[in-house]
Amino acid sequence: MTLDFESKLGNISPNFVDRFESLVKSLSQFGGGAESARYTSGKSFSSAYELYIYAFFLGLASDRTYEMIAEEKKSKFMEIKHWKPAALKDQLIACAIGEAGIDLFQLQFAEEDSQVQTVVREVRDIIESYANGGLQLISEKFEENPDARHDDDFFLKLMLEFQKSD
Amino acid sequence: MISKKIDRKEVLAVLLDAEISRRELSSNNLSSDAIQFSSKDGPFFQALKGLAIAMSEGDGERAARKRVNQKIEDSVKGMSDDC
Amino acid sequence: MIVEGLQLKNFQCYAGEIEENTFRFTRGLNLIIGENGSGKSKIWDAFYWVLYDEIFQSDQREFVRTSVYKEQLIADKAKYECDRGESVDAKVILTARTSTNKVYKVTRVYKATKMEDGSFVGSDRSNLIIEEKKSTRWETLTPDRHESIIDTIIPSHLRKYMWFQGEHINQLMDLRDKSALSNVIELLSDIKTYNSLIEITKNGSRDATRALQSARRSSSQDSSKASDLDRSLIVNNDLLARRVTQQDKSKQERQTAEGLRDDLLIQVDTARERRGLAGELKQVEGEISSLSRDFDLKIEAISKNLITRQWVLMHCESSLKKFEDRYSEFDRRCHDYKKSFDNDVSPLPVDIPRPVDIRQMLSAEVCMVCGRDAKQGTSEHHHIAELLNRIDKAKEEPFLNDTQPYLSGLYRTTLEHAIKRKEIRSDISSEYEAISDLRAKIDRKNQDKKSLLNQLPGGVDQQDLSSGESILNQFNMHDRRAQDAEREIRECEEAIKNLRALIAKEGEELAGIAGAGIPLEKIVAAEVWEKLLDVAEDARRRVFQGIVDDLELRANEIFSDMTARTNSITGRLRLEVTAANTCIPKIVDSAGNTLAGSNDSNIILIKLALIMAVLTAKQKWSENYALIADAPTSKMAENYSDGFYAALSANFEQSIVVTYDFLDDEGRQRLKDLHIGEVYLIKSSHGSEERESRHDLKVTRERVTL
Repeated sequence: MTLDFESKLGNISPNFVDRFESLVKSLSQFGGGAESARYTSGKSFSSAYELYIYAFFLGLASDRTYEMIAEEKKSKFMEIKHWKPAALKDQLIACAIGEAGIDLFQLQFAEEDSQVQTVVREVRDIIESYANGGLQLISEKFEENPDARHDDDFFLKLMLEFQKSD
Repeated sequence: MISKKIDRKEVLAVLLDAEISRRELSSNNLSSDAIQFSSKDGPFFQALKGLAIAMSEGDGERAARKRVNQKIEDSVKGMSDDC
Repeated sequence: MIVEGLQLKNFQCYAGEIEENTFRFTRGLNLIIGENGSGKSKIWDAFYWVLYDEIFQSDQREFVRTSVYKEQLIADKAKYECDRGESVDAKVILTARTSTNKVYKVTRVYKATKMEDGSFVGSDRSNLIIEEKKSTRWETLTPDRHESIIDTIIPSHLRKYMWFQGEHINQLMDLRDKSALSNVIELLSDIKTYNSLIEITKNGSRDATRALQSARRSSSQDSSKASDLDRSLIVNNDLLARRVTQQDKSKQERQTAEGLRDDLLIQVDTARERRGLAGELKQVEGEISSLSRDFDLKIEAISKNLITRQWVLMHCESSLKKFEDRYSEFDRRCHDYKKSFDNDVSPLPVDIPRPVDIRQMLSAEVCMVCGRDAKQGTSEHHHIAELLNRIDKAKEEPFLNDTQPYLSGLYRTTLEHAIKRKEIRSDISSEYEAISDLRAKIDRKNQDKKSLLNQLPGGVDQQDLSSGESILNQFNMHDRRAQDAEREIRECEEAIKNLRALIAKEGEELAGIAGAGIPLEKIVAAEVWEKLLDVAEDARRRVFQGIVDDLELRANEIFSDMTARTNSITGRLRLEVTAANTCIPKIVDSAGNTLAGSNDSNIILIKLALIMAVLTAKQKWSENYALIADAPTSKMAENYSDGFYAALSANFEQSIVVTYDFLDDEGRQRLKDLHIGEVYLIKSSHGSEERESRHDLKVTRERVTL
């Protein structure tokens, strides 16, 4: 019997803080969209979740976290289970689990839903924290240099800045 | 349309000139009556003269031909009279 | 005929009385000098109008009759000052003296009346009066004499060559028009005489031959054969004549076609080259376009690749390592736990012995494995009963919430992608390399494009691809025409040869069956006329060639005089006589090669030289008639125009030129050595302040001496 850790993880709809809403909307085709439509509207990410994935890894690479306080208004994203490509989503979850410091073994003995939910929430918090951290970093960079958003390789270059001893 | 009178001597000279050089070019074409033609009273020379006069007098075509034919006739008569 | 004077009253901008607007002329080069717009062209107009009752309208570029032009003829100032109900007139008077010292005065008047509303009603016609000076008085001539007097002043067929406007020179002597010069020669020479000579001798010969044949026929011993031969001779002679005409035509065709073809020769090479270049250009542009597309796609994809090629994972090894470590530990602990869990369970496999066997052993109270008794209540019996429970217990899971399958899946995924993650850096590098490769290729192609465009001055347009086609097509067409004409010429030659032989044979036959008694003069006449025809044709050829040679010589003399003051490479005029007795003008260098692209001033000068040569040829028109030109040098550079004026003064008894050259005194010094007649400076002025008003427009003239 499992309390469906996998599907609970899949159901995570991570939040982003409202102050990043315009950023998100301007950089991605909110709600998804056809590939070609993305180009004509000049957005770098076809779906908002792609931006989120990027923001998460950016936050991770730059070690930027954002403290998600309850008072700050937040908006939700699409559930993780719909994110594509699947392998990337899985590796994202793996990183989050890695960083989350969860006792996986104890999870094997969870008897109630709530126990699993707690772990899931921890994973979600990690994801949100790094992702919003990443969004904040992007936001700061744009403030420094408003033209940067028109740079085709801005996001790539930003990511490359953070060399970690891998 | 040409209002100016043609110089008959000029025309005659040109015609003669043409005839002479033509002969030089085709010297083996001379007819047996060449001798007659080369004389000033000969029909050919007379005809040339008649033509030149017709031009300078401003004869119409028929008149010109008539004049030339007359010259030929007169010359031939003269020839046969001589014989 | 020397033009002695021109007088204007209220004619166009020349407001005022006759005395105020009188120009006197003498022999030599007469000049009327004024700025553009000062009214000098109107003087040329006056000359033309007084004789021909027409005004040249420059905007429509055509001559307009007085009946159409009407009161526009009359000066605005005069019309303005005229009272309502009164009339006003414009008048031009030309006086001329012939070589026999006859003096004529030609006066033309046009009248209009001012209506109450200020508009003008002009008459439909102007009035022409021609008078001849008879010692002290002027005798008015009857209108039937007008035409011939005017023709004496300037013959109608000479008019366009002697009274011209500078902007029309190109049309006057269009060198591309092969018949232009032939027409000029025909018009201005007595070549027509020789044409009529040929007609006369042709017809004379035809008639004399017919008369002879008819005489032969009637005296013939075999009259039916004679008349057959006679008929046949007539038919064949006719055919011969037509063949000769046809051959002449073909010769002309060939000449024309070859000329047109050769003209295109240079263009064809150029066209071919351009077409090749244009094709190359198109291809390069296509390559640039496709490379650019690829480039754009790659650039677009950079951000995309972060997700699709998982470039975002470039820095997460440490996090994944943490996960892997955690997972490894998790897995180990699970494994250990499972192991100990399993140890609680019987070492026997779950299904041995079978439940049915166990129940049997219980009821039999015997262990069938070892044979020992297992009575109820004993530990042995309990042990066997426990075996049943084992199955149930075996169905128990060690874990309540087994996330291992899922987590091991995650683990596997991270392992599987490890290599891919390691290659991210080099993947990014090679992508950038590919992009910069494309950029370099595009740059190279753009260089190629630039160098191609340099070889195609003026760039490429659809014209190029298609005009190149059409030039080639035209070239081939003319070439074909030339060859076709050549073929026709040969065919005709053959036919002519055969016909002549046939005619000779038939003539001999006819002579053979002729009886005696044919009048000698008929025989002689036929021969004489035939020779006359030959002579006439030959004479015409010579005369034509003579005129052409003379013309060429004179034109080149005049031309080199005119260009003596310039240093540029000039070229020479050559007149080529063609088989069909037309004359084609060409401009050649000293080696006789056709010069392409002579500069414009050269060409204008050559045309003028040709015109002047024609006019100064045997007929000595230049002695007898005045050349009247309006701005003839308008298309020439200054050092060229000096040569032109020198040639005018040297070659023409009288010339009257209206021009904007020599406006300043210094400029006029250049005329010192020429035979100069009268010189006038004209200026237009407005009496009032209002510049726009034509009501006060007057032209003042000032006679100057050099």
